[in-house]
Amino acid sequence: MKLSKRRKWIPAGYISSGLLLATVMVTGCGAPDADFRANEAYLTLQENKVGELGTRRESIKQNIEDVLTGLYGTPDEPHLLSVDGLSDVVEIENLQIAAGPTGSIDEAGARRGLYREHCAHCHGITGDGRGPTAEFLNPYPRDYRLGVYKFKSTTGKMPPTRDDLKKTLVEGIPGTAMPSFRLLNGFELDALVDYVRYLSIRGETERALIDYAVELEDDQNVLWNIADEAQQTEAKEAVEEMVADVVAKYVAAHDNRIPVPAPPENWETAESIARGRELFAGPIANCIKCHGLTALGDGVVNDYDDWTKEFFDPNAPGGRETFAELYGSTHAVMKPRPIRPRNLRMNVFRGGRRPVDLYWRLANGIVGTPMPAVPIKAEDAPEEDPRLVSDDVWHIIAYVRNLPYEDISEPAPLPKYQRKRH
Amino acid sequence: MKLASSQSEFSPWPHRLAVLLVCVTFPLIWVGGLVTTYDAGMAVPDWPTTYGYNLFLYPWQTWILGPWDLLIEHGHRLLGALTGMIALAFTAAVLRFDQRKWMRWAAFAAVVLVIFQGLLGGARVLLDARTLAMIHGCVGPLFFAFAACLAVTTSNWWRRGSASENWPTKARFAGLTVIVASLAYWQLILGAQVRHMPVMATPMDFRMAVIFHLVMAVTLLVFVSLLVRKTIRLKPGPAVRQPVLLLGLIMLFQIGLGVGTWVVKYGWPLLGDSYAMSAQYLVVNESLLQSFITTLHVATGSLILAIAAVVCLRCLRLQSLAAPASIVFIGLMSQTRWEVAR
Repeated sequence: MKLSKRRKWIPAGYISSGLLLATVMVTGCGAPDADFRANEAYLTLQENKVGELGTRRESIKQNIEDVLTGLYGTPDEPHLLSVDGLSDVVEIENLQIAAGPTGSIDEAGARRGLYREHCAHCHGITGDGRGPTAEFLNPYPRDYRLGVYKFKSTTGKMPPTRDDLKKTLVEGIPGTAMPSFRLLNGFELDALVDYVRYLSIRGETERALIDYAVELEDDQNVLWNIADEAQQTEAKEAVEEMVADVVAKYVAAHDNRIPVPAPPENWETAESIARGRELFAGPIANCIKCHGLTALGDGVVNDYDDWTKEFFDPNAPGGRETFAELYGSTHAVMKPRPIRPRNLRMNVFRGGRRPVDLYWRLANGIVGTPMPAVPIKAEDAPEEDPRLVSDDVWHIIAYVRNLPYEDISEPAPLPKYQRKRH
Repeated sequence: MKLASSQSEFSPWPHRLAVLLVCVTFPLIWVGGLVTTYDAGMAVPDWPTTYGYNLFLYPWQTWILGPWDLLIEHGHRLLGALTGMIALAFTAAVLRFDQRKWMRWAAFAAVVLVIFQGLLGGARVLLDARTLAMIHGCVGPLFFAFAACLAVTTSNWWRRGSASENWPTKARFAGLTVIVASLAYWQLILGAQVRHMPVMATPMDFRMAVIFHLVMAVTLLVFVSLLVRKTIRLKPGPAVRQPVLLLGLIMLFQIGLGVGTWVVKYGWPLLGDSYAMSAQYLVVNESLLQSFITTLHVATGSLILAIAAVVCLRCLRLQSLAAPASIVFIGLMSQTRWEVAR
């Protein structure tokens, strides 16, 4: 009897051990060493433009990896090439604090590993926005490798300043998984800011190297053989030039701030808000096209951000199938997700709620997203020029800031000349 | 005769020390959770010394007034040492006052387990291996559950060996409690996988771990609900009813904490920015709320395991008392029956 009772438990024992083993196998037991990941997706994109690389792909990939290691080091030991201006853009001491394993200590006893501790789980060790948690987060964590950032005070596609990035770290981004790191010290924040810039510069350099490498002829499949001393000088100069082009933008960023004139005297009065409402719905700013008639963010809802559109063409027939074919199996690119215009009635502005933050968003748009810049003319431009003046931008801001207090069930009527359109 | 002779030697000390062991192990697990929450695992780079000092001789002012991560890591080590000492005291008390052979082996096993856990912690530090941190985090709750079981087996309730009047021998009650305890531990391991996800893992790895953890949470909730329902219906006696109802309540609380943990770390899932609550929510890294909720979720997982183990052990005991022909565990329970019979 004992035996038959015991026998009953044997399959249960096997099943539970097997399931436990399956758990560990599926979810993993060990951890690979920390290393930067190659930008496979961009390499695939460029390969599709120039034609199949075949066996050259692996050697190009390895060569680029060696060059980047030579230029920028590893996640544990970063270093910088002596390119003009690079040391002004990022400080090596900051990189050394931010780099390294979590909780590690350097020779002087100072704590290192801040990036891996605080950022890598979302942004990835390479800054590619594909950390372990990325798939669950909406919006996806930022991919630094394009050097494109949404919330900044600089013009056009210039990189953000250190202060812009520090502001994002300190304030976080409400409504997203980007936390506020206000509990970190100033020097820790500075270290993280520089490390993010370092990852951007590294990422942009990698893209430039891929662009260059895929155009090489078959017999030139080595971009730069670091071990070959004879080849060093000429190839190194070419690479240094690529890096210098990337770095130059960061050097120039601080001198390319969006000019922000003072608001008009009647700003945020009833008259200003009414003028803002008119411009909001007007043909020049045309905010209602995307943000919707009542600014709930229900206008255009099927657009994508630039990080997605680089790999996914929503308008091409079979776009999704092409995307799945190229990137689906490797998961090198996050699945496309539409980007929604902001619901302006929430009084939540992810890049900051201050009037100057809103001015920056309107004057320069939100780079990387479909949010365009409002066309602005100089104060002394002719009246026939249909673009807006800076006072008009301030009036739009006044209207937007007043939106949460405007009764949505009885929105203020649109000006007469607008009604026909809708 | 054996029972009479063991009664004449009866001492409350084994049980008292077992309860003390449980009461010290829970804060130890809590502080261990804090170590992971604050990434303080390498705050003290050497082991078993602390910055070259003997563990017990590290200057207390530096410990208390120093950096936060040093406070919790060194504090965790001190609590671990205290737990080990209480385990040794418990073993001494069992050797002195408890004649049951299997109980003595169990006491030795507790000491071996706590020493093993200490060695795991030391290896984690010396090798700077986060995988070992995860294993250390899985063995700790196992020890906590084991300590709770020791408290049950040294209790008066166990010694009295009174069968329950209406024990549901045919309802496979005891088997259900075994399943619940096993699933609780499995869920704890899955949680550890989520929490100790390596930074080089891909989004697919984390997704798998989270989905497994969620599916297991639902499975465990279903089985705990079945157990609670059976308990209410069959009324197996307060020794089982009370911890089962407590388990049900804590299970619901833990589900809430799980949602809370996700929210305080990554914001509201699924709600998007259509609702003010989710649109305005700002995650603050290492805030008191974030650390508290996350660590509480970890600690409650251990508590669930311990309560499930206590329920399981008590049910197996009552099962063996009520229906000796349907023994589930041969060694432990049959020896117990033998003692009662003699």
